Amino acid sequence: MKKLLQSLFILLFIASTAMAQDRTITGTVTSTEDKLPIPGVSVKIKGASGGSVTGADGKFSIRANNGTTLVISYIGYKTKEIAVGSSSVINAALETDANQLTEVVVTGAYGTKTSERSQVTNSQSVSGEKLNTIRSTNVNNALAGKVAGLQVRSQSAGALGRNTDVRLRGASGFGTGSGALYVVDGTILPNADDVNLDDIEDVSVLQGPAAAALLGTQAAGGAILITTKKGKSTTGSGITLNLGGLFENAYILPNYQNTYAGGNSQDLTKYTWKATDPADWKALDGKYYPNYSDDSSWGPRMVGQEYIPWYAWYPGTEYSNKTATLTPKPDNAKDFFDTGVTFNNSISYSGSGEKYNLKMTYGNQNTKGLIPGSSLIKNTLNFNSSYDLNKHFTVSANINYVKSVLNGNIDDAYSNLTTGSFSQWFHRDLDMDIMKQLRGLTVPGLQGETIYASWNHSDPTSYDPSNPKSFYAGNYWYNPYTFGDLNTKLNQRDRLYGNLSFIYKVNNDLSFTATYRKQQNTTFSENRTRTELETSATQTGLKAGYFTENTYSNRENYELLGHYTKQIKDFSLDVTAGTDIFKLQSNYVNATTKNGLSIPNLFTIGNSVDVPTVDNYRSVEKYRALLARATVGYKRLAYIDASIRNDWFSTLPSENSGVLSKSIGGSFVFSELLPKESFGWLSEAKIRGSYGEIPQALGTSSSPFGAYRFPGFSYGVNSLKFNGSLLQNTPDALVDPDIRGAVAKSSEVGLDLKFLNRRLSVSGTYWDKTETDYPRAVPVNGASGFTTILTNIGKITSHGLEFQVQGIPFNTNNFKWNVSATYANLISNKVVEVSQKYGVTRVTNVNNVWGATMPFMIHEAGYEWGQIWGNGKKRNADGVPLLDANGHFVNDPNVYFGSVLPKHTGGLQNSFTIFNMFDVAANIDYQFGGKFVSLSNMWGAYSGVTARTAGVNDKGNPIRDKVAEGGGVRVDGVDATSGQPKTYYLEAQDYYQGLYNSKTFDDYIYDLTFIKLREVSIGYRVPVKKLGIAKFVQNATFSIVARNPVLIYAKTKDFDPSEISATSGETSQLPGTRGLGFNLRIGF
Amino acid sequence: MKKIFIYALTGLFLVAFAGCKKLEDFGQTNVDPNSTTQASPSALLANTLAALSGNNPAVSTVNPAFAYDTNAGFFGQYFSETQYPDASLYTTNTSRPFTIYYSSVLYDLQNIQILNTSNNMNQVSKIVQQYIYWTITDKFGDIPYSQALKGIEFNAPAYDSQESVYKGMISTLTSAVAAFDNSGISGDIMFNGDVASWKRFANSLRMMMALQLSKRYPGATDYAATQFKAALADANGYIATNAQNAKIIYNTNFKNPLWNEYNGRKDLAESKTMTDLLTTTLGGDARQAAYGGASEAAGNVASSSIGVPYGVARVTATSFTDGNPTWARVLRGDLRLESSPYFILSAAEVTLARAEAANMGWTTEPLATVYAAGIALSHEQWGVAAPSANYLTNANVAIGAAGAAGNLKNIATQEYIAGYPNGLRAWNVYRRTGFPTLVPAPAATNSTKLIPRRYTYPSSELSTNAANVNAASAKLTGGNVQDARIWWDL
Repeated sequence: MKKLLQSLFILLFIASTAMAQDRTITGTVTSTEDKLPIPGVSVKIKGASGGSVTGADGKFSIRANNGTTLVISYIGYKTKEIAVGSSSVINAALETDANQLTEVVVTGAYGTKTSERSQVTNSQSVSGEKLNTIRSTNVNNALAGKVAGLQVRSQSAGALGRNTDVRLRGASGFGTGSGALYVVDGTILPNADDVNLDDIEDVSVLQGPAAAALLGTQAAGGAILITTKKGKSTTGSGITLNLGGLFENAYILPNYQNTYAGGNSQDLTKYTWKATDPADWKALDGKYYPNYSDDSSWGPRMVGQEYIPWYAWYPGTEYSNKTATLTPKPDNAKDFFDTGVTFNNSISYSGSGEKYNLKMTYGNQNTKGLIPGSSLIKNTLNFNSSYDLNKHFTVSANINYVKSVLNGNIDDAYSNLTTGSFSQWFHRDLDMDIMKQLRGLTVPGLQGETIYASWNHSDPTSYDPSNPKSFYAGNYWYNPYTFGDLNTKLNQRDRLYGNLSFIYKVNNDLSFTATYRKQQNTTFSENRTRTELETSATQTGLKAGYFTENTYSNRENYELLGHYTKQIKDFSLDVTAGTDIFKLQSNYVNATTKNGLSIPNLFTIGNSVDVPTVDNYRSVEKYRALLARATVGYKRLAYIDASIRNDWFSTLPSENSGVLSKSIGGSFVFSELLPKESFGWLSEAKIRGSYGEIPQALGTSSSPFGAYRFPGFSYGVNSLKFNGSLLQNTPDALVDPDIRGAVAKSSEVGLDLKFLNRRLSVSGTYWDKTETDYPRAVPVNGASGFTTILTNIGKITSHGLEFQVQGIPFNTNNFKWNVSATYANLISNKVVEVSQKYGVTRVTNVNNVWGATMPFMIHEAGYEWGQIWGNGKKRNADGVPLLDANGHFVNDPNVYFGSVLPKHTGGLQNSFTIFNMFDVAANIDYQFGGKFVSLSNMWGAYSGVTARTAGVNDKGNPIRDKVAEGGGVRVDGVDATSGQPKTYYLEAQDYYQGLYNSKTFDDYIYDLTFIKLREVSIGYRVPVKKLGIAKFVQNATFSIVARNPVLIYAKTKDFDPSEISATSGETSQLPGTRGLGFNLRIGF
Repeated sequence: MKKIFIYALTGLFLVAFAGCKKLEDFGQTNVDPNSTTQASPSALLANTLAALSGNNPAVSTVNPAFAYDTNAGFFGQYFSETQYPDASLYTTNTSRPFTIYYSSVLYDLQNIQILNTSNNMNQVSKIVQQYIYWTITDKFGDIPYSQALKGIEFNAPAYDSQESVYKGMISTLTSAVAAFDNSGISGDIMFNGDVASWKRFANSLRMMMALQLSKRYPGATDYAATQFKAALADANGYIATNAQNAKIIYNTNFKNPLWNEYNGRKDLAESKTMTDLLTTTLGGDARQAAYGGASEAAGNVASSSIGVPYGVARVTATSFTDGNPTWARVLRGDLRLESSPYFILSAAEVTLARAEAANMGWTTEPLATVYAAGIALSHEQWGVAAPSANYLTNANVAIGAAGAAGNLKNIATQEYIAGYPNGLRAWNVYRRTGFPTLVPAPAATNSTKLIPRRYTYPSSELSTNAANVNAASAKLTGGNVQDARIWWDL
């Protein structure tokens, strides 16, 4: 082994020394701005052809004679000429050229770097500065609109800790989409949650196999490569303090009606005291009350009349046994939500010396959520350093530790206690201030039980002195504040990730890197439901309970890479090759109490009334890969880039466990050949094209890789025994013995143009992608005894266009305007085939908001990916709905409503520097097309909560009025039997509940279209010199920032379409928010 | 140069993989530690039997509905919906699964036969399969049978006519009874491995199935009567006493479905149709004390005869329950404990079936005796006092000689009452005999306002077995609609 290494190195030495000739000048090119080395800088001898390019460390080496002049040039910097004197070391510091767009170096897989010229794909890079305009806490949200072809699916700021999702160039697979791979300094993270944006140097987005083949299988859906900041020397102490605060409020909620109160009857009922009723209630005798037990809002018109509010019946408050006036409370839902407050503070040290660089950051994010009682506290530690042991050896470490603690009941599923109530089952007359005030109000029940007061208690007719609970307890709902107080959830996470590298640099051209990577995540969660919630309800079905879970996952990579660069006359060569060995281990143990807690509020699993449910799972999967990539350049004119990688997976059948990924592409900078005289306006022009292919393993998404899906067909055992008898199920899924992974192929061509001395750049790309052979459980008819067979099926093809424009329209001393825009058109993302072999044309049950009752998302051959199908109105050939004899719509169970994918996505970023003092940035993003299903609006209409249930009809009469009195919703259609046009008027409740009964849900399908001003920042550079504090403070910037300040346009007014919670729609979306905050950044 | 580089890299890889035998050899890495490849026939049987009633979340997520099917109970009017009327308003429902029963319990039973560890286990599994098929075909009509459960070989099995399904079920039951030997039965949570019980259960099922064909084969020498008589005459007997009932006795792990029904919810009520029938029409049937409970609390001993109006709109229903807090819950609280039994097939049902057969002249059993015995058995089953003479002479109870006018109505009414709370039984009796006379839901949302005669095939069948489900639908009058009549329902 040792000998082998020795001979290897000897070989390599011979190889490199064989190239040496004449006198060699070496040196480092750095930037005057940040003192960092610049890679890819052209170093030429004036008047001579050929030349050299700086490496990743900014170092170059060139043969030259005395008296010649070195021309050192790099895009975005002013060219420098230095005469060659006696010294054989020439270092150069380049000044930036503010009039030019800087050249972007894109970081690729395994640390490879490519200059803009040699890019063969439309890999886009976003600088940390542009990314972190408002100091976002989520990298996906920060990318919105900044990368063409990237669609971010954000989540409400109220949904603390929830993963957001991105789609790169449409969606793939037969599930809800496979998402992108996140790679931080080469280490793969399962999601983007735990990256501190303050640490990010830049982000590169590799879309599709052509760009990401070197990463293999896991990057089939594309990859988001994050490079963190390295230590660098600064003029001051190197310490930077970043303080930020953001205050967010509920902004977008469904449009509620504010005319009618709660209950199921338009009339108030007169209360007559009876002897069995509490004596205090005598005060209410003869007064009127609305129906409380029904949780809908089909109640009486609110005109300020006297009535008995829900809380008057409970003893012991200032409101007990008193009436109130019945008036609308238009903001009651909004009033429930607190102001979300996020403090995002970090302190970092950055420094470097001749032999080392070091950066350390401590970040603290402390968020108090919009949902009362919710909070997320996240602490991040980053250590990033490298140290040169000697000329050849460098060690480096990049270690990140993130601890996050999430508290609160973050839920926007159907029937959740916040939006699930407000938007679906609620009384529009409820006063949220009083609700809040009475959150702790209790009455004693039987057997010493505690009953918390609820707005949804029973009607007084049902009062039974022997069972007070039947009146006082909540029927379906609790006071939402009380629920939050008594139902708590904790999720805490410890993530450690990073790498240790050992670099052996043989010479300037050749180096080897051995890296160990690790991403370990452990979580602990628990949910507590207090016993009082069980006793405070008549039929919520909620039991006191305790759930706890521990999870552990650990990803480890061992990489050994060789890197070789060489300039040989007019040719440049850049080769990376090596191995990657990977292991993923994950497991969990969880337990839930069942059927309540034996001892009230003792939160242990052992305290379960019934045998608790206990579950555990563990899996291990591995891959081994050989990989290589090479770029060959000719005269800065033409480049060829190729990569190849073979993976072997533990999860594939062992006789067929290897898969080969590959890509090849070229770029041709044809402007080099154009005569400068006539094409002076064209600074640079390049065409590029590439092709790539990535086969996958058995995972349903790109990663993990589908442990145990093959060979499958194994039996579990029910943890419960039936009087001592074990219970087992026969598996319902068969597995094809020839199962293999899906294959993704993509190709793209593009044109990159730069004009007017590089002040304007325009880039266009056409791409095409095909994915086939998904390892998917194909439904087979259950009567066969099996419901699915796992086999390879399907084909999805997609193609689209991407454009990016960047420019500097103005650049004067006092005013600089930078603009960039992205636009992507997803021309088509079609499901071509599901399975001809099994006669399946539809992948059902992909995603839904209400089972198969509401329209749901499927993939059907011949249609765009992710279609919404389901129950809608039956229509005649002209599209006119059919009506039955009662004027209700007629059901068609198979209506096609459209795809969930937006057709057009993009954004616009403007930034201005004014008087060198103010920095203003405004980021807009948009999408057009795509559908979603709203469950909130369906139930909101069913229960009379939303505005549509309270308008006036074409006669000018309230739709809730009796039809005989001119009220009702006008319904036009044709008679289902005769086909003759018909018009009916249906009383609003009949109409809206009829939509549910006849299962005609067309009205609840909405468009995802929006234009949103997502980020605004106005920064002020504190004049530290003028203030005379320059001794202590190097620089200071104070900014006012806004997050989601304006939803400029949306087709639906009820939701923020950029934050739809599920792929197919929303089940009771948390509100859209708008936030305003500040940031203070001080460099010491 | 290039060559040297390639050598160098090759050397690098050799080093890297010096420890590996082969790149693709991952040893035991992909052996799943979370499950086993071994199945236990007794565990499969126990799993199936535990699911035989329905609504038992501990058994599976399939939520089967065999002996306890609330939808059928709404159509048969045992039950009312208290707050969200839906099925009881006959809303079209195209998502009632049935092939899921094949892939779950029916195939578990098939798997017992495939594993073939014991002859008697095989016979038991066949009997239970026929019981399950029976519940499915009576709801849907034609269903996959002869090509079913054959795995991927028939991944889209043909639908057999209900006639051949019935004949297949009856013939399988007949052969199963004959094929029992001395081999062991384990995992039998219904009869604890008692072969005699299984034979009685199989013969009783055969009688019940044959009787269900009475509209199709009314004659005393027709197929149905012949099968009925043969089963009746079989030396192994039929369920004749309450001790012989087919029932599952639940426990705290696997709870009685009616306990689950009121576990935090109270959507289900005994219908006013039922309470009116028992308290008024029949002049006070003692079983009402067992059939209606005044509280949803398990163990509560108070009865209620305040049935909730059937088939009314939400507001009407909730106003009624608000005004009548002691409205009748299904079964008295102490009869739906976690550990209460649920009856799959009782002696009362079999005995009353014998009465109906005797009334039709299929058999020569003494009608009056058998009929009275059936009523008495049902009272005994529910632990209420034996029927009084007064009760038995009520005009809506008493019967005349075999074939006398009004006999069928009163016998069917007793069958209907004895089947409670097995909703499918109510609906079957009604569809077969037309009795008791049921008035459709006043707030029905279906266009014809008729009581459904069948379940519609679920739309999921269109995805996986379109040609066959379409062929089966085409045989129905009006297609795959709930008003269409299945084969035996002339």
